[in-house]
Amino acid sequence: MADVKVESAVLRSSPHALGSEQVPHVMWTVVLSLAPAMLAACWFFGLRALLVIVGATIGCVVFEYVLLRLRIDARKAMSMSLDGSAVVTGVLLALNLPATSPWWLVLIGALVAMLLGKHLFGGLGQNIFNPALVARVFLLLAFPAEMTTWLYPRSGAQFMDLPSLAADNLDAVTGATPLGMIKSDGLQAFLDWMAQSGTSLWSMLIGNTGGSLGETSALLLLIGAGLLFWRGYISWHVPVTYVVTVFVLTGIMWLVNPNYYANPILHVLSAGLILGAFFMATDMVTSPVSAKGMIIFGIGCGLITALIRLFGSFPEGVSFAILIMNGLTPLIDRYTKPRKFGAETVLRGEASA
Amino acid sequence: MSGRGATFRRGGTHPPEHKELCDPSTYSVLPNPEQLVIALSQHLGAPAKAVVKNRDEVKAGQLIAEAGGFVSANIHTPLKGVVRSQDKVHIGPVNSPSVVIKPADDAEPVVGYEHNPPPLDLAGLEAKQIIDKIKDAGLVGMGGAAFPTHVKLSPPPGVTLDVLIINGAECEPYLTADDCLMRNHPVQVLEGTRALMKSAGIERAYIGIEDNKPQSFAVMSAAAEGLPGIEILRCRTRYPQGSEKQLIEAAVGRRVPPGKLPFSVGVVVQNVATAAAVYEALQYDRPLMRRLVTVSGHAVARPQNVLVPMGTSVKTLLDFCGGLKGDVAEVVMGGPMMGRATSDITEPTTKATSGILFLAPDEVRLPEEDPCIRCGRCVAGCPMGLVPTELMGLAMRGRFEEATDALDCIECGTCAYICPSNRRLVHWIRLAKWELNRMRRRAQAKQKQQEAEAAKS
Repeated sequence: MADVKVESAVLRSSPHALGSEQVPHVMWTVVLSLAPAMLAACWFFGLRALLVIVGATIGCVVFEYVLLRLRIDARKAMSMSLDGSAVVTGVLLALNLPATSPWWLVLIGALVAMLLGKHLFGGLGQNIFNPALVARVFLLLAFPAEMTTWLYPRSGAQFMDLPSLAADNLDAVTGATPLGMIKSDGLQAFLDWMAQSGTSLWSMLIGNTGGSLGETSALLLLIGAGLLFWRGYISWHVPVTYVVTVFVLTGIMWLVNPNYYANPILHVLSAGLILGAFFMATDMVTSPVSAKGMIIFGIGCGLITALIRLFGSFPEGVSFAILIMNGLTPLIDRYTKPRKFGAETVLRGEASA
Repeated sequence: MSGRGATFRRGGTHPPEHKELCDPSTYSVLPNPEQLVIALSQHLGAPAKAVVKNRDEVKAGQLIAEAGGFVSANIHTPLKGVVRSQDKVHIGPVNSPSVVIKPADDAEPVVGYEHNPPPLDLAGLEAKQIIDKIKDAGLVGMGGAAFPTHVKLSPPPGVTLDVLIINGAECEPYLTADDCLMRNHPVQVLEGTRALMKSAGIERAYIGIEDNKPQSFAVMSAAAEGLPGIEILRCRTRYPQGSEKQLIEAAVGRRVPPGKLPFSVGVVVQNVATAAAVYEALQYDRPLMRRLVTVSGHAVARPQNVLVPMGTSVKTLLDFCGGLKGDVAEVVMGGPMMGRATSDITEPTTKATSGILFLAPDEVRLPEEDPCIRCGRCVAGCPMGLVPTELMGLAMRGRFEEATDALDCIECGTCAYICPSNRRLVHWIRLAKWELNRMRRRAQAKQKQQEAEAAKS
């Protein structure tokens, strides 16, 4: 028998068995779940969309690596910047940008996401706000014109066709988002436009409307989200409460005055609600950990989104809503701890004691 | 009862079982080791006090140390021999007094479990007599915690017990010792159950067996036919099904409140091996001095269940099982979820040693920790309804006063098992528990001192 080499055995505290699922599995699955939406963006907006996605992703990974190198060694920085979390941020950032984004806008977005959104807080898991949304809101406030120049969706046949964005051609190839139109021109103008251009709610569901890369096809976003549900990476709590809250609140206002307020279905299908509710509000790092907390978080997001859309000066409120609720997450976590096992049990024979 | 078997409601996981490595249909009896190192502090509570001196000759089953308090247990030698020394021995973190015995050359091997033993005659026995016998025989919980059995049967005044649960869940991966016992010796378990029922005045008992042990379930069900009040309960295979509070919920739907014992909901839980030991104590006046131990893992040549006299070293057992067949990455006393790693091949087995695992490098992951991504899996997985990631964070920052929920942690390891960032959650929560208990002891000592001073002045 071989000499017993038990003395070299590892000493660590239990458990000695560990599950096989690791952070990169989680992150890369999220990337995969966004693939249908990315493909849709490329279909509707052509090569420009692909360039924005690739640029934002590479930008985020490179900035992640550079910022990690400021505090850790090269080997670990390399493995951490490729763990998929920076890619998720990059893809989400791209889906929050218009296809007309110039290259510098994309790179500034990536830098803001990684630096202000993530690494100033201490990197993965430490950030309070969703990095992609921090970048989007930063860009929206700093470069409002570039951030609201929406390319008309086309079909994949024109993929390689890059429409000129020169000033004399701009009006021909760009237009407003549905919610933007309602906010600036009123509901009636939008309904007239819908009738005129043959746009229906169905085309909004499949994605044939103006908007950011990821604001187009609610259907394909939901297909991707299905993968996350199936893998157990997101639960129903946040997205369902979020969407239902928006639907109910906008529905109430629609019932009050259907000539002024838009149909709640339009609200649910338009702009970034589905993207936000299923992929950004569900971000693990910046949302509550308990089921109870997630429900409060989702309702809060829905409430703020609806208030901004209905009464605010911005046409769209998803980004602001999620960021505000991100800021409330530590508080929500504190007050929504799960009930401890047996805490509700009534003790026998202790009433007298 | 649902088609999938009884289970608890909240949290849990299902790690790979690896039970196929160690065949539970049979077991070997260990030949006498060269020496036994019998720890005197191998149960919860006060250490036992040695009642033998060096060079004393002892018979098999003789008392060598008596209980050092109410929460303590007698200790008996499993083999005939001579007391050689009484050095301290490390049982993991516990530096325990011990009695070292050199078995005699003509010592009989450790006594085995009888086949087809007679049923107990309980008619003439009172509850108190049964509990006294259990106490004399040095019985402790054999599922791992080694809580003295007689204490569990002595509820505080005013508490009435109405349910006994015998724990045959064996939810830890790799371990098959309880399965092996139930398949081969169902009568001992069932008769012990009857005696335990009588000792606590209980008329209803459940024997919980996870549905990954169909043979045990069948054998026990057949043997339990005609025994009033005993139900063999099929439990879903789900970790930590064998945890006391979770098994109680599965069997009778009662939830033991935080910080309370099963007494508080009228329940007593005992392990199947403990039940068998109760039978032997009553039928044969046989103390608890040996047990079935699962020796398993990919690094050991011949994994098997072995009937082992307590005090046998890891090395002796390993040699008996053919030694190592390759590199060993980790040696675990107990199961992989809650067991304790050791690197000391002289460490002796105790009444609570359910298994010794020799894990090969390919079955052990030793990953680096990644940052917590707040995915919330530990929260959803915690069967006790805690927030493990928060407790870990508090413990790492030394904010123990805020981490009092740690005291409700059962250290089942579900959180650390499912964590995608490989965080050592249980490790830190255990530290918080330890610190909190230390603070509590200090506060109590200080209060006592102040009271003493007040009384003086």
